[in-house]
Amino acid sequence: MESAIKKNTLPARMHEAYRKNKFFIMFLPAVIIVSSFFFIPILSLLRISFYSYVEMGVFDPGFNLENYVKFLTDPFYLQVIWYTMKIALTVTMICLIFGYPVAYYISCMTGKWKMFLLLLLIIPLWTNLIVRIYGWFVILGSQGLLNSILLSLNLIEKPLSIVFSTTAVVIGLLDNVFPWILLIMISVMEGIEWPLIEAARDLGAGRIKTFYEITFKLSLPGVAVAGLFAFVWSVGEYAVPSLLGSSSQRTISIEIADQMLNMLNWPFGAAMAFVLFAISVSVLLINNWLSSRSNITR
Amino acid sequence: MYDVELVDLNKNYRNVIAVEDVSLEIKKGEFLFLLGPSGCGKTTTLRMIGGMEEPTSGTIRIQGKDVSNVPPEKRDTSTVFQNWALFPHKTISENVAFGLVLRKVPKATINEEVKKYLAMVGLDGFGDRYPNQLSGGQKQRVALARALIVNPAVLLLDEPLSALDLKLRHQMRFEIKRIQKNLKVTTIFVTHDQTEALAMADRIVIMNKGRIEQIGTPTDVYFNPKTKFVSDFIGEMNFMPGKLIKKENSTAKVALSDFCHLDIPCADTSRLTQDVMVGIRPEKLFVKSDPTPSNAGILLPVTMEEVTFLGQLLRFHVTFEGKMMIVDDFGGINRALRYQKLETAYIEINPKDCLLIPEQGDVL
Repeated sequence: MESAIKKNTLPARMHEAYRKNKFFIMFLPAVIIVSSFFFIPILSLLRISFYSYVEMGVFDPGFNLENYVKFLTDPFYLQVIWYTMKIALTVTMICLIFGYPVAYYISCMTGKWKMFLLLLLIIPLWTNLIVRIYGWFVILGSQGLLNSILLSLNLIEKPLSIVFSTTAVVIGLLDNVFPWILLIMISVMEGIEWPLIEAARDLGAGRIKTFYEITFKLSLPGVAVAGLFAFVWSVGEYAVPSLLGSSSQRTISIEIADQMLNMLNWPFGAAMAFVLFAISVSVLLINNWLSSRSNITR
Repeated sequence: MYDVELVDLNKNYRNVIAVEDVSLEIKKGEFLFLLGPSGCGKTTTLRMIGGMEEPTSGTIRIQGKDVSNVPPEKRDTSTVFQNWALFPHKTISENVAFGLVLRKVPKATINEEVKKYLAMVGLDGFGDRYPNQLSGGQKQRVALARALIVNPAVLLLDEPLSALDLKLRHQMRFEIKRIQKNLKVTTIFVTHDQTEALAMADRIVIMNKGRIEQIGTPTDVYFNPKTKFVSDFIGEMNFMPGKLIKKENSTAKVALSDFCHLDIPCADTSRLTQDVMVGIRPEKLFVKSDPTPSNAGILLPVTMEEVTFLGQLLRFHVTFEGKMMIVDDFGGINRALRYQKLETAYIEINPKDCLLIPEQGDVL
């Protein structure tokens, strides 16, 4: 009986049609757009990353790995990679540690307060990124809101210089990523069925044990997705570090833009871009590997 | 001493009364059913016994100990939930072992017990699978094993069979009853399916609108329903409006129409008023083609509306004085099919089979 019901669901029917190649024509426009405007440019960029730089805007077509070697061995660029990873990891950890309880709390709520909190989460996402970044200048600047408050309370003697620092970059990234992280985690936690929690209590688990055994363990795949999202976003973000960061500590994306736009060293910029890409992909693969190992076969 | 005692149990949700003044004692090893239509408070009562809901007022005692405000993890009860609530991230063995692991039982003992209980519910060798790899009936068995392994004082089952198909449901009834009798565990089973309750119960508690209507054995509630609701809810019942003509010592003369009078046995005629209801089960009525009563019966002339073939029986829908009645005939298909062509017929009623229900109050 069960299989008969499943056969009649929309996804099952779609899969049937898919097997019969009925949907190919619907798929085609997307294939054309993605391949001509995404894959082909990416592939040609990959090609360029193996050229050598002659002078500004002039490259020697060929195949050598000098750009990759330079990026991955030069202490200056290694420091750039490390700094970028450090920021991304910091943002990810803060998101998960502080986001988890908030997401849990919101997922347990019902009714209009929940709607209100979700709206509070979503409304900032409608605001333009650059506007929000400049908003942080107003708050964190040397004559900004935070410093004026701290000064007037005599907690500090001279303004803190928060803008143009790693702290400012982390704050700016959190502002971007945090609402998304919460939305991902809330949706995962909402999927945990209440009877499971009752069943654990019923079998003798106290509140804390139940939370750990059921809620926490079942939310882990969602937490992993959220963490992945936070990391990949932060590691590749350009606008936040370039506006809020210090000019002496640069991230990979700032270096890429600098090489591409100012130095006109496209081969080197392209090589850096692909290293960044590889970092993101490897994090994704590690995540997939971990979640397939954790036996969540739902 | 009783295993479970409920004293004046009440549960209100804001201004909705879910359970009202429920009092009940359950003996050790008894298989008790809470039966009623949806929203009658049976599940809420069960959840209060299990500790998933807190009573608004009243006392719950399990083996003499007041547990009214004790959290579920500290109660000696185990629940089989409606959709089984198996932990999707744990294997079948881990699911079943869960309660024992929490009780810090040695690992070797746990493995043994899990094996034993999986065998008991007929799932040897399924231990390494995950819940999503099992069918509904198998999940049901896992839920049962998981609840029983902790050796609870009271086993609570919340409509555990309602998600299964008919054949499987009938099979599981039999198995659950067998296991319950073997383990002699005090069991409370919530259902809206009266045949389930009649087939499995030692005693049935029939609930309606948050209150207990009647408590009794299956035969008791079927043959001696105490309220109109019970008579209607358990099995099927034809209700005919009648007028009281005369009260005697232990019988009441009731007129169903101008020319049809029944002398219905009645222990206590004092509460009868002029308007009464006469109830009779479809299988206690007989269809006849000619107006000669066979024994002590009274004949009613009826119009044949419809005949339905239901396998082991033939069901007649007839109208008497414009009121629809159901007659079930088990008397062989050939005999019964003869009446199919009739437009008018007679049904025979034996007054001894009739229930007398006053306008207000309980069955007499």
